[in-house]
Amino acid sequence: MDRSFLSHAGVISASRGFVCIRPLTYESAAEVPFLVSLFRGRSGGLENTVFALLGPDAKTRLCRTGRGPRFAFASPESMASGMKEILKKYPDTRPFDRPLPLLPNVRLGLNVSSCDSTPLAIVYSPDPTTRTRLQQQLARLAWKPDHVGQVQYCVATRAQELKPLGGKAPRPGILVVQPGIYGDRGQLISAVDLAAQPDELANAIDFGLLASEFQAKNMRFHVSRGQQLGVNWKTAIPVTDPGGRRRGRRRPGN
Amino acid sequence: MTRRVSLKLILLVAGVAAVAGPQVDAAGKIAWYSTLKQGLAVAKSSGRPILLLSATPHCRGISGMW
Repeated sequence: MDRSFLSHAGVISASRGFVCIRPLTYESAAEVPFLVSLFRGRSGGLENTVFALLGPDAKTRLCRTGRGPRFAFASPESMASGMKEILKKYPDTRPFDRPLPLLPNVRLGLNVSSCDSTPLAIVYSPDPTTRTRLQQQLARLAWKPDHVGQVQYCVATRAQELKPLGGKAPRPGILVVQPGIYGDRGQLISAVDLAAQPDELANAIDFGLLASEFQAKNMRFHVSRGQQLGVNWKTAIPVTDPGGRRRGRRRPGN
Repeated sequence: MTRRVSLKLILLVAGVAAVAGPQVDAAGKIAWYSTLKQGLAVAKSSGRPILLLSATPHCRGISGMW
């Protein structure tokens, strides 16, 4: 990902008027045709990253699509101003409730929250009605200005899904987790039970934000240390980016 | 007296900063939907434009880094 663009204050500010979608490449076969329709690399297959600004219909292209923001914008500043221009064409007049942004499962939740250096809140209940209620409560919190983008969210329905947290299976509720450096495990740092009131929920999330700690990651060190530790992320579908495959191949003897 | 109060204030602020240290950039993050299904549905119902960037949550097969 191009962090210089996505961490730019103007881009972040403009993003609040967009619906921001970050599909996880190679984690869903169903998403491949849409992503490939937006950008196909020289190899003809899906590349590691795909960038687009689209209309609400997901068909109207609002800028040049490509592998990243650099395909469309010369600088983060021009991306921010471009996004603000687009927003003028889509005035924010229709009120709507944003649902809780959910990662597909606990495994991806831990990994993505580790990548983003944020805590992960897991809505854990076997009962769908309870999950829906808790998700609605969390959604109200998640989109508040002081929480937006600060926490990742996912759902668990069975204790087995929580094995990466180690220890005794926690009771159903909202579990706030500190992801590990490689996102393959997590540590429970805060929790509330299923009957929690909105203010208790907010306190648990705030405590998670305060108590979680993240070290800056250096890619070279992270990768070499991960290889030494035997970390090996398995994607749901094969990687088709030739650069990604080449970079992922280990040298003989390693 | 004033100096002592100031020192206490500095220590207090430093202590809070130390606790809150990891959250220094807390305000600056984009809020992403992670699936096309959920994100596209929100865009359609809200009439908001879409910022899309797919990404792999691993680097050279090592998870925990984009």
